[in-house]
Amino acid sequence: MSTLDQPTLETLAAYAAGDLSDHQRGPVEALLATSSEARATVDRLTALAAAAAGTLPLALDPAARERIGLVLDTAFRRARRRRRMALGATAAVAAAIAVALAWAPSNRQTPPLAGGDSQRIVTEPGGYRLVTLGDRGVAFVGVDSEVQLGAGGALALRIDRGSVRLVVRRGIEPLIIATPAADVEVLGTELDVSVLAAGTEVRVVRGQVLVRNQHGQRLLWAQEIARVRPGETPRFYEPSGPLGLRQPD
Amino acid sequence: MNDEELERGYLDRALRGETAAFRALYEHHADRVFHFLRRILGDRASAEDALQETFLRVLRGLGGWKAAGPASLGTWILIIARRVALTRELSRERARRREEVAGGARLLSVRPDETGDLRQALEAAVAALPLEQRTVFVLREWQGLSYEEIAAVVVADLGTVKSRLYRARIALQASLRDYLSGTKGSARERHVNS
Repeated sequence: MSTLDQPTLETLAAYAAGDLSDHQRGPVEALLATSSEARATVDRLTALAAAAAGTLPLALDPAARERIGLVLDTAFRRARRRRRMALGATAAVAAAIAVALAWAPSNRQTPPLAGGDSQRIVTEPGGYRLVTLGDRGVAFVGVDSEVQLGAGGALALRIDRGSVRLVVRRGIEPLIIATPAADVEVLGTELDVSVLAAGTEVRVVRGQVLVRNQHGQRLLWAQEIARVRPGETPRFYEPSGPLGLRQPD
Repeated sequence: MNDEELERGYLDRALRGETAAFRALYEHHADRVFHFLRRILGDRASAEDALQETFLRVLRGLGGWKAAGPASLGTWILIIARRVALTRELSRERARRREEVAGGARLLSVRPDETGDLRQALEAAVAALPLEQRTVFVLREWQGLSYEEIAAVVVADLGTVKSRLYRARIALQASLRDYLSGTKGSARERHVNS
């Protein structure tokens, strides 16, 4: 049993690992000069490091490697099929909305966002707009709203007024939805963003969304809502009633 | 093309839906992750199961990993592997504790066996370490991670990582005293000579 206390032993371990500065090594070396037990401990620690370094990696059995690889191939194909089906369903919903909107005389679909475009979209109290966000998804601009489409890049949309429902396809880079009170970072999900008199409100339908401004950030999961007042940190919000796009009068 | 660029290429292709690209990522990281899991979990079968579970989780979260984030893809996979191992090991620990209550205490020190093999003794002693100490010891000594990378994997600050590592080494040198005594080539000489 060692007579050295735990802090001394830890210092010796740090010394043996080479983690101490010149200044810190002085007292340790003074101890080593007088204590045979400390010297023996450091020698054992050094021998331990050498033994660990000399231990061969434990190899994965080739048959197990292949078996797991095949399981992963199958899982990958399944995930890809599910993703395609989900995208197909999203596209079908978007198409259905577009067809429905085409019947309304005051509504029309904005052409897909091309690189270099930057468009302002204003809807009136009785009108909607459906816009595509490049190849990343669609935005359904609600009644009495005003948005600026991004000119490509990460900034997809700036909402100055009103509500937008977004369906975003998962990609490597997040899309940024800018509002006066906060930015909303979207990786791949479905959400509502409303710019109200009191601030910005974000409701996540599915997936995850990061709401952030210079005062803080909040990660939202499905069915969670955050409200951000200008100049304040984003906060969770518990609604008293159903939220979503405001309906036409 | 360096390893990182190659890996990035596989990742992009996997995200576009290429099965072979995800398989290549698995092949690239499988040995290292298996070695980590084998050291943490002890037996081969558990480590193979955990390896499969780790990469299934990697598959589910692949789109969420950011190249510009704090962790490299390899470290991120180890973070997932550690979570998988932790879950399995905690349930095994509970079962072990129940057995100990029923059948006596666990071996606390390792004595030279018939072959006197220090490496085997070291592996046995590492397996007997508390999980947190074992994890940082394996990541440092056998995965070659920096303190910063270990801190990312075990979600702890640098001080905690170092403290766990030192405690692990102290416990190991004590339990392997009979093997390690008499071995020369000290750290003191290294420092004095440097």
